[in-house]
Amino acid sequence: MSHCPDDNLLIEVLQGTISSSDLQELEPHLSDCEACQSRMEKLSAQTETIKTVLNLDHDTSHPQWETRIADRIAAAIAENGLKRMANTEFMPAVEGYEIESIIAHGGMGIVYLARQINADRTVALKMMLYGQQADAEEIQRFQIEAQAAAKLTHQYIIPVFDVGVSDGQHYFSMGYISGTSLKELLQNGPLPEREAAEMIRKISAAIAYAHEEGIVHRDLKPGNILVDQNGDPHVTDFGLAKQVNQDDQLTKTGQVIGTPSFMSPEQARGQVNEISPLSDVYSIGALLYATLTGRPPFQSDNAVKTIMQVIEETPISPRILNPDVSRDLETICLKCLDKNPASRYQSAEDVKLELKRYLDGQPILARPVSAPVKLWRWCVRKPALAGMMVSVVASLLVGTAVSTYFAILANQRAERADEGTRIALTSLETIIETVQRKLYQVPGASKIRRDLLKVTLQDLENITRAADYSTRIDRNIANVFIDMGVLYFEYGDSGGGNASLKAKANMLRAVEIFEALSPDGSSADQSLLEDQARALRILADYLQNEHWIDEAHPHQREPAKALPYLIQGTTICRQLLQDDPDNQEIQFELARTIKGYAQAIDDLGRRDEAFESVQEAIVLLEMLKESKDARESFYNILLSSYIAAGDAAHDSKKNDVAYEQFQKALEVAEEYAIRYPVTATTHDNFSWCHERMANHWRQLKNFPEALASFQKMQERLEQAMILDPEDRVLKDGMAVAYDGLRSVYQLMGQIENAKEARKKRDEIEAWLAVSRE
Amino acid sequence: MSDVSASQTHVSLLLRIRENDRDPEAWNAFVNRYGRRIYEWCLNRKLQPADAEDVTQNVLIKLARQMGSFEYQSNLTFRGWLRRITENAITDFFRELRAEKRSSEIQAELDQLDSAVAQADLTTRLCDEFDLEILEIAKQRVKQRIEPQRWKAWEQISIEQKSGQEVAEELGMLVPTVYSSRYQVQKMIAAEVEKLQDSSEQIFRLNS
Repeated sequence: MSHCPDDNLLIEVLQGTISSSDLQELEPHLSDCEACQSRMEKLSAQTETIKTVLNLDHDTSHPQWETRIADRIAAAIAENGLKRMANTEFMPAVEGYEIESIIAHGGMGIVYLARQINADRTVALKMMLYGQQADAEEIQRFQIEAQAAAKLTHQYIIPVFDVGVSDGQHYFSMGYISGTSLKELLQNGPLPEREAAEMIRKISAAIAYAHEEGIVHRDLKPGNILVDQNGDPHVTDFGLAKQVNQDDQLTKTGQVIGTPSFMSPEQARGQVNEISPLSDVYSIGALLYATLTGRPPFQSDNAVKTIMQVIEETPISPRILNPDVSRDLETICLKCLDKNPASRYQSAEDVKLELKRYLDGQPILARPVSAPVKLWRWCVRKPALAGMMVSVVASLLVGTAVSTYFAILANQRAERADEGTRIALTSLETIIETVQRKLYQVPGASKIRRDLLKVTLQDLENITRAADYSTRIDRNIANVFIDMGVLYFEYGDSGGGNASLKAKANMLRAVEIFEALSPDGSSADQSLLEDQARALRILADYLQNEHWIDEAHPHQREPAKALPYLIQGTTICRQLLQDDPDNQEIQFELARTIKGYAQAIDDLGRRDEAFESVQEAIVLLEMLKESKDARESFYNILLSSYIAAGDAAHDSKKNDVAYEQFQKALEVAEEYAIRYPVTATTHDNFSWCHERMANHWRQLKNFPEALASFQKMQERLEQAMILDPEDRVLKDGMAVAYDGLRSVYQLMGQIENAKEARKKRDEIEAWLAVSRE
Repeated sequence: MSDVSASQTHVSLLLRIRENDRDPEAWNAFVNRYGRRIYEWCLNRKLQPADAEDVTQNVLIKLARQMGSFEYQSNLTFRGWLRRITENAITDFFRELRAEKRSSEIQAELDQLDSAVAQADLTTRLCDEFDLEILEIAKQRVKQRIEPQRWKAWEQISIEQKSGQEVAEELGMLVPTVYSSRYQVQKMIAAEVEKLQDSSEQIFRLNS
């Protein structure tokens, strides 16, 4: 053959698909013909990707890289870098099964692809990680539940074949579906409406059947729904995933809280007795929500927060997230998601039928839910109920953190130990933050706050002190001490006695811990320094003020003792601001500390200096108040700074200057009252300003004005106490108000009125004395 | 199940470390491969060798942590995911670095690394290294399945860039065989690379 073959034939040569006789014929030509060779060269040219990668290989090796550098680094990493445990049970041996590969890792265990030898079928084998810690009773329960689940045969339920224990680990084998989970499916966004409705209808059918058989799923979520090639859902993990043992949460739960996003509120609250088929109805609603919107009804960056949302908040309407959702489906969805089980559909069967109605184009039975009511708001208007709410949330928070932590501890052998510590710490930190920020606003929550802190403290002390976390743990402990101190300070000790000393002891302890972590504020950790500055300021605040938290230990002002703490706090804040000049938190902390400092030196008689100092705080706070992230507390501290400035002026008899400052304080109080919802603080702010005004007028011997001011002070306190009857500071204030009235009446010669005011004052003081016991 | 760990050498190091970050062998290889890239990057940015070593160690740890904790998202390609965890690791590393107080001399050195350009450079280096690694694994796999002669033909013509004629003479092959070797070997490698990328993607999906 002397003419050149065409491209097709050449490709056959290259691919090796050409017949050998043809090749024999072609071969001599190809070996000689340069044109054909260059064509073969082209046809067999490297694909772009490989070429690119091959090119990478040339310019890489750096002459200075040596194996011994690699060895050194690897050794260093092995020594100090990684705390995660080796996953030694990589492929367990289970009798009767050949384990092939890992299908998935989950919070609860590992799922393997396996062959069941005697039945000769492919199965998914799930091993529970915590099995090795389970006691006999738990194993028994697991077996009973798994056997119950094994009785379920339904087209949309993954069958359970076998349950057992191998080498101390529970396992069960179940049907293997090659497909994806609904969780993965939803990562691509919501499903088309009808498809979603159809899928949830099928899931409801499966759940309705299970309920008929007396089995509640308890952990319905997208990860537990497998979707096969035809798009049909298959529910898995019936009654198995959640083994809740309420009696002894700490050791037996063995339950890692994964995502609570799909959990019903009664489950989220840990009310195990209330879990019923209606909890599954809720979760079906959550699944419908997720398929329609692509996200769960509630989600946040940590489990504790999500749980609080599940309990407190109303989900965003699906139609807001996805306007394509029909009103009917939204109605069905929100009815399932009702916080109150009695208001949900009363069975999964009902949900199934309702979805069928929707799919058949018939009218649905449920009526749209009226505009969602914000639970928390509602609570705020009903303080007594709010208190109950808080106690529920509180017990739940503690339970969650503790059980999460211990569950993970129990998993330590197989899982990552320091991950457990991290999660536990994060949960505890959320609690501490909740106590500081959220519950702080709730009237009547002082006892719960304290209980929470006590449990938190215990938990913190129980956490394994992995070296990585030691500082963080100590720091949290110190923060808890500070918060406890503040609580004793504000509310006394309902258990009786010594609140003042306890407050002080807690605060001192916190400051000591910080001093050990960061001697003289020398730590390089910015947020630690922020906490340290806060602790110093709070302790100083305690020391420099007089108070009668408990009568046995009245506290006199100790400005001289407070001073060094204030100076250290100011130094820390200033140092932090050098690196991070626009940080509002630090600016605020600085302003508060400076204000304290000014008050302390004022008490020590350095009045002009005090007036000058506090101006810096005022400038900072005025600026903070105008920023877009202004907070209530900016106003409060600004107000007290003006008062401090006014006090300094007042004490050195610069009455005009003092009046001007008190007037400014009053303006701040008004601005605050307009801007924020009315609370005890709103009134207390005014009462405070009026007290100062009263003193001002009294000093000037303008008794009618002084009287008017004391009366305003007293009225405001009256209103404040309606909103926060427990607050001792308010009561103390009230005693001061009546004493002021008494003195002015006396000065005005109105003896009867003076007597009356004295009587009122004495009543309050008696009440305070009794309540101290 | 010893064959499992044996088969693991055919899986990318990223997966091996993610599966078990205590595997010393995997770590050595990981350091040698990816550590080398980080180390070079440091030296190119004028770090002292001792500091470069320090930085390398830290970034590697961050990378391993990220691999273990950062969920794979199916809307990302595997490479996109890799890029993301690398970026996260670098960000983590600098965040910690900023929190630490160091002598100004070292700080000045480290500042060299803390720029968007420098970080993008490192991300690219590491991603390239991943591609190379995958390619190497693919090559190993193919090499085991093909006649040594044909493999050599491919190496010489593709990597050493000799002509078909030269290779044919050197290996005592016919010219069409040399080209068909090249054609077939690279097809197999490309298929293997794709498979590896797919399986990486799948393993990460399943595990997260």
